[in-house]
Amino acid sequence: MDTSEEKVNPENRSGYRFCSEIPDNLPLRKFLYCWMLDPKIKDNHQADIDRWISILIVANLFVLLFEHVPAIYEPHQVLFHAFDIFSVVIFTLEYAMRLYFAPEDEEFKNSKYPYLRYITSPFAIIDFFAVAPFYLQAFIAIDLRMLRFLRLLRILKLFRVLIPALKEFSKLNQGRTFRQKMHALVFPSDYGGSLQSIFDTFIMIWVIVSVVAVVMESVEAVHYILNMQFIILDSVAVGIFTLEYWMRLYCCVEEPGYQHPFIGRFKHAKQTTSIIDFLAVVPFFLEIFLHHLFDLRFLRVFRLLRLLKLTRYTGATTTLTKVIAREWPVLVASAFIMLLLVILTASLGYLFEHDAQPDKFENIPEAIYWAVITLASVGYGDISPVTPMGRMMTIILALLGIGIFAIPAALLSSAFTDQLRIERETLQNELYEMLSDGVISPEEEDIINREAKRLHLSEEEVTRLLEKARWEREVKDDLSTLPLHKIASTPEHAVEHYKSLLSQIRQLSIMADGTKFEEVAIQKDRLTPRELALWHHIQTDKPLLVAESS
Amino acid sequence: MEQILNTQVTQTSNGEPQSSGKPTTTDTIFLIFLGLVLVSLVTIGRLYYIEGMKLETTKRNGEAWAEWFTKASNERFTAGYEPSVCAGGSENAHTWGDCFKALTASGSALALTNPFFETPLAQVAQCDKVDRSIIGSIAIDKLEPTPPGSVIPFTVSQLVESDPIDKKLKIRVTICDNGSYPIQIAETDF
Repeated sequence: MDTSEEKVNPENRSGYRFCSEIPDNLPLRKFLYCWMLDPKIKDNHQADIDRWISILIVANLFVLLFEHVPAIYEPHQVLFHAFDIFSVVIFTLEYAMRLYFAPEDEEFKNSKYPYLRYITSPFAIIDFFAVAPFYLQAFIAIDLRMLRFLRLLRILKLFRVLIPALKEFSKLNQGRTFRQKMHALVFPSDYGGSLQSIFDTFIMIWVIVSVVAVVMESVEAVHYILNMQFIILDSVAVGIFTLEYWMRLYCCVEEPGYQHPFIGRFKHAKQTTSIIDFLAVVPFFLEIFLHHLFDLRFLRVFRLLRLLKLTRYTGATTTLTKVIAREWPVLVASAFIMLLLVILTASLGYLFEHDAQPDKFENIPEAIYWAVITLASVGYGDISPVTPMGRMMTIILALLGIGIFAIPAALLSSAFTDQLRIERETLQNELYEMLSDGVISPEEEDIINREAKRLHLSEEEVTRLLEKARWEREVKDDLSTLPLHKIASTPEHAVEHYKSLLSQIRQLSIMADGTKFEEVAIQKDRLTPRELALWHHIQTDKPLLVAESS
Repeated sequence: MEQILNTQVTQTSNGEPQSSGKPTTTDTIFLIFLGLVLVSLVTIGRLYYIEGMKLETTKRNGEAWAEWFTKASNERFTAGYEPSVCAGGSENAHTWGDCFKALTASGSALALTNPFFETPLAQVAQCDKVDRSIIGSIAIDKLEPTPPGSVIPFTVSQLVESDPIDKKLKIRVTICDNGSYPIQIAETDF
């Protein structure tokens, strides 16, 4: 169907891709459906609703786990109950909303009884069972433990997000090998779809949960109460991260540059992110197998390395690495100056203060600590000069330290800003290229969104860059500003330029005195007969008669 | 070798592989390997869980002792308290060694087992991460108040066998975890 037709016809929602395209004159239910639940409209609230409902479901799962820890549950029963009521209210509202919108949903609208069709659909049944136990409790004397178990059904609500993602993934990967499918799942690619995003989110959630657990484990009182929960959580997290590690290692050969079955995998295993993945799980195994022989408790702190797994999902560390690599020579030079200053300061400190404070300025290495603390403007005050020379030197060095120690920070800061500017300019150039056909396709839009996310750009900033690129493209399209060889390199531009020249000749013929023009042209042999014939032809659009006349 | 094994995959004219999507021989080998990894993880997780449960049992042992101390702190100063070797008061000149023996005698409620070694629960001087033979043991310390004006409110020393228990004592119960590190259970009166 023609898109313009769809836009005109309010009965067909598939024509709207953006909220701005939704007409105001739609019936209220249809209008609300378009704004809130229509999965075909890109910038409506459907994704937000799904995201928040998913977060609430996961929160319910954790609450359910904590309810089984008497030390946590008993003092906070009221909070747990309030959270349960809040969840039920939200889930009930969601159920009611979906029921109300059933006649608008593609899946149910063609049914004779759309409401009944919705109520009996698998997702609606899951939604119903997620809240029903709470209401049942009000009417039937039901065992509370049974009720808690039934609340586990809320997890099934996640299928509302998972199943469409699975369908999309299966469609995108039709005719692809098993390994390619696995690659699409664990590595970002055009074939991953939303299932890949869900996989990434799943890993990120586990990274955050396991890091929070490691931090909380260090609190003795919490560790005492939740020891077994921490053990289970850590085992599950290690299980997930180990499987992820092997999956990545197996299908990395689908990545460009890693195709060789052995060398490719070895190359991948050597990558920083893979080493981080490996280090995230290895302390667990070492402690399990070797704790009888050695005290490997210190390895537990290395589980915090799991936080570095998140670097895979953010471009910030890549940018920082680029910045450090770019500014490396300057940083080394700056470090050298700092080193010189520290050694000199420590030596002078030792020279002036050793006799007065032999316990604090015992030797030069001891004085280095004081020098660094002074130069870095930290100034703990545990060691301070007491002699007049020592104090005078400290004043000078403290002032110098402000400048010298600030150099690397200033360098990194300015280089970081510069790198971000370069990356934004690159994005702008990409936008410029994308606009070559005058439109941004959905694929190009996805690329823009991905890049904007990576560069932490807001929607306004992307729009601004887009406008700038559009303006530059328009300026470039003004062919008169380009050299002729540039115009000639693009056939489309050459044709446009030719048309523009013809138009100028026509304008010239209108403005100039025709008789005098011909006189000059013929008498002074300024134009050949062919050129003159062309002049006549352009003026009158008559067929060229040059061959005959000549 | 992998390329040879992947015979079910064909290439189209544009180079994009066409496949039924079913696992190839290599995929199957990998899946078996992944299955083995999963089984190993479950086994290791189970081992980890069992170790954790042993620590929980040790903590329960410590809590049982702490509970007994708290309960006994009032009752043992009344007449006819049983076991009599744990009774307090100036007329009773019992020592902690007698009391401990009576409490840990077989059949007694505090005749607990060290889950790490399946041996009777032993009292140790202190938990020491170097000495791994005391994992799961219990350390009982007496807290003695210092004179007013002291920097520290009390001194801590091991409750040894020869210590008299005729007077009320302040007790600290500690257990040694699976790395022989101390886990303080409670501070209570005895």
